[in-house]
Amino acid sequence: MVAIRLSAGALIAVVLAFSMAWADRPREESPSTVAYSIRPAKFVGSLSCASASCHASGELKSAGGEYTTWSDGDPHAKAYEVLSNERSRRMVTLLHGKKVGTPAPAYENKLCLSCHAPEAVGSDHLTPVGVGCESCHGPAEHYLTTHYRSDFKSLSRREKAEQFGLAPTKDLAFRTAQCASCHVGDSTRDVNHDLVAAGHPRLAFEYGGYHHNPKYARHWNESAYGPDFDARSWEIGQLASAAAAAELLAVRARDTDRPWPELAEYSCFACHKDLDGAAWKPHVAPLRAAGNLPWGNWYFATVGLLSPEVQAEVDALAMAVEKPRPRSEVATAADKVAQRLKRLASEHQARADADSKTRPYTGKQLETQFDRVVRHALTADGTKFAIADWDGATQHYLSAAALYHSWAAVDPAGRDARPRPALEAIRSGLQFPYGVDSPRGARPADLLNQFRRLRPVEARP
Amino acid sequence: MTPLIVRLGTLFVGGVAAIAVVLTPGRESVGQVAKAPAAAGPTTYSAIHCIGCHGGPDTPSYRAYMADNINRPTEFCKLTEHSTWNSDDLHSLAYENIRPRFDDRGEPLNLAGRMQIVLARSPDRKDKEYRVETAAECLTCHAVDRKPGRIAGPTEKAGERFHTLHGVSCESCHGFAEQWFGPHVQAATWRKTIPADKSKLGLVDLRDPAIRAEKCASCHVGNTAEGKFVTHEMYAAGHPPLPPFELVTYSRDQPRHYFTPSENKALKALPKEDAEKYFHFRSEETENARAFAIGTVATFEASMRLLADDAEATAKRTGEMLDLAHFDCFACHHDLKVPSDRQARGYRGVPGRPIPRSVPTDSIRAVLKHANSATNIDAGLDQLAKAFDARPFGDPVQVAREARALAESAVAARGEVNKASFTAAEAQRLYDALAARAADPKSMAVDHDTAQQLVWGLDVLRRDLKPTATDSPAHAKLDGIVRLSLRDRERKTVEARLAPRLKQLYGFESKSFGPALLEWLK
Repeated sequence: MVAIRLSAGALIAVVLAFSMAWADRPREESPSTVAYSIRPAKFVGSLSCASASCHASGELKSAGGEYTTWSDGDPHAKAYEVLSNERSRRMVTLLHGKKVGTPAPAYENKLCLSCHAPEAVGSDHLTPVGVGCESCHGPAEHYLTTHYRSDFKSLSRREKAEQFGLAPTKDLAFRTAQCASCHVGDSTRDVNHDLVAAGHPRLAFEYGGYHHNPKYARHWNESAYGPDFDARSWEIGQLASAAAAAELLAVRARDTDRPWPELAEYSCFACHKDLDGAAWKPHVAPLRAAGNLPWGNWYFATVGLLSPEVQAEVDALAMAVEKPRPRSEVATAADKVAQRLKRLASEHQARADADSKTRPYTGKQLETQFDRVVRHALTADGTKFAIADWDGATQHYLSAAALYHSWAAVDPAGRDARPRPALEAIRSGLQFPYGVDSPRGARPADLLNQFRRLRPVEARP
Repeated sequence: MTPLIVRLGTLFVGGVAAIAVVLTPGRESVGQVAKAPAAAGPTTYSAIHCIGCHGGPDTPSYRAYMADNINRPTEFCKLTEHSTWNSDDLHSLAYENIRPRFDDRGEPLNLAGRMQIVLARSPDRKDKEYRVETAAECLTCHAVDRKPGRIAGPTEKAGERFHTLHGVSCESCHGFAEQWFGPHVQAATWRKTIPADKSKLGLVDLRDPAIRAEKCASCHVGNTAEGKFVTHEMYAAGHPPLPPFELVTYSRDQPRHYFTPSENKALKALPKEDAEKYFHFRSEETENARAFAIGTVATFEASMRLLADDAEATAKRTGEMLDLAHFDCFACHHDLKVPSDRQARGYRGVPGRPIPRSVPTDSIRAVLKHANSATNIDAGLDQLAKAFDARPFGDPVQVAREARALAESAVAARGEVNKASFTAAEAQRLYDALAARAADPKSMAVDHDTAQQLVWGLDVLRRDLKPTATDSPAHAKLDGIVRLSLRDRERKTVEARLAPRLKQLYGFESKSFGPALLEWLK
């Protein structure tokens, strides 16, 4: 399985709520900026949801067919199964190495199960079934028998969470953090470089790319949002994913039982490239000597678009990681960045709650943000990539695609069709060749030209 | 027997008066020699002083020496040393190769130019008017270092310490000639001077393989005590990867500018004990087996010493990682394959922890066994592997400790190996033992550098025993996988050599190496 797939319809859209664009709007203190204190509860198991008259109607992608959709079209349902496959067996062998004794199989290993069957880890009696209903929606002990009642339905998402333990997945900042707990990692779930070397796919989460992955059948609709959903979920997803990545970095740095430096923090393809034909040649940063390990760009490539202030803190964090500074210093800096990003994600969520349905982003706003993303991908004079590596280019592509897609959703007739061929060319140019899980043979110069073809409206041919 | 010195004296005076000028050290008339301040180390005579006698067929002295049927000096040394070095040996380009060239727009025209741009931008070097051709960190290996020693850091400037005119030239290896220049032309006395006394005058005893290996390894492996270390930053800026080191192969392909003992008529004519006493020549032994064995141990020692010295320095700087140059390049630098052959093959230690640069363990083990050495490096290597595995990029404190212990084991083994015998029968025994190790499937599942080191050793031993062994198709095939000779037929620029070398490194597959090696071993 290839860790990152850039599949055809995958990319998404979205909009950036920008500091400039929003400066004149009234700021409301939304409840979503306060952390939820979700009521603790016990797991009851996905089968409890699978009644034909409730969530297992048998129809994929329909209301009432949620369980069926999950079990037939959602890779989460197979998460436990893969722990028995050859790759998992080999991972266990490789990680065990020369240590004495026989290692527990992956399907009994708590670290593996914590993502591949979270409910089984949180319960002493459930048979593992992969990533089931409660893995995302929260243990159902308190809401199982109440959530279909009309009085329950009239509760706010905060009340449902705090009184009944139903996770507020409609809150995109929460949702992304929920996804990120496995797809980025958290304090108990860490796919570090040791695991990747043993065979675990690299984690590289991007909300929109996952949401629109054609191999992922969604079992819900986004009724809480207006037509600009893709733009909203892009901006919130970027911030919340980056927050999760910074939090994980803080955990890795602080916990002295973990490997350090943690190589999974660094840019994969800065090292992993055949030297005889490496295509991407990263710039030597002004503060970094050649041959130093550069921090990974995947989660932080677009942060500067969403908040120039946080970008400065991210830059300082990058310095601390790359020098490298003492672990405690890195942990402190990472915590600070994580808190800032979480706060920002919640603020964007509050705006989405207030505006997405009533006054969604306009086509003009999305066009402006699309242009900003494209400019941000390049240096000021447009002659180079601002971040000259695959991760940076791919995140900017995903961002541009999300906004472009969202632009069409809010203004089907008004969206400019001209950037489309360049977007498609970029997507295919970023794909890895068959048999390789890194950008071998990429042509950054061609990609750069395609990005330049996406440049601002007035400059477009 | 008329003293040789008298005859040589006659030759100078009567035959080639011009040489006398050149042979007079320190004369102001020899404009090329700049008297350096005392602090910068000894005066270098540079190659220009040697050319008079060692300059080859185009020099007047050469013809005079050739015509000397009484002393027959060309039976002892070729006297073409300088011309070989000058036209065929890459050492003579060592300084030229670090002179950056740029076009009108400031774009680099050579590798040195590209390295200059990258290095000058680094935080340590910027604002320091950094130039690679005046940087001590480059010149320690690329020029004549008058006073070998540590360097202060990447921005230390050359100053008077280096003589740059001729790259790595005569005195870089043979030692500063100030004191031995005069005596060494007085054949009668000089050839009856034991190596230890010559060394006191500054002549490096290169006929001793341990000393030769140490000399070569100081640059070709590295030696931080002499300021010689190709850091990962230099590699990242463009420095070509250092190939593995094997003494005999390197000496042969330099190319050699001297007679081997078997070619050396004067040496062979000496009484056995004199040949050994004065020139380390053991007529009962094969040409190269001893040098291979001692070189193998000395190279291992140099590698471990470099690692230990640099790891100790790193450990003193809080939070720093070992320089990445200590690691196997290809542990990180590979495209990620699906499915992954690395994962299928398995790891020696913890997955995802970069492993150290390869050391030729098969050769070392074979040599130690051959010498009945009490030294065992296996436990030490295991401990070193653990130190590298202790955390990503190794624990510098542990690495320093284990590498130091291994370097000391090598020192202990040196004497034992020196006492071993390398007659044809013994060389055959060593070859057979090494071949048996090489034929073990574990030895064949290796990286390019380990494979190349192993094969170089086998090839050196086999050529000694069977000089025609290089003519077979199997030899040509193996040569295509891991080059068996170090140099191209023609001397090519560093840029022209780099690309094909990288292709070969990345084209290396242990699954094609194994069968080719087995075929070659037949």
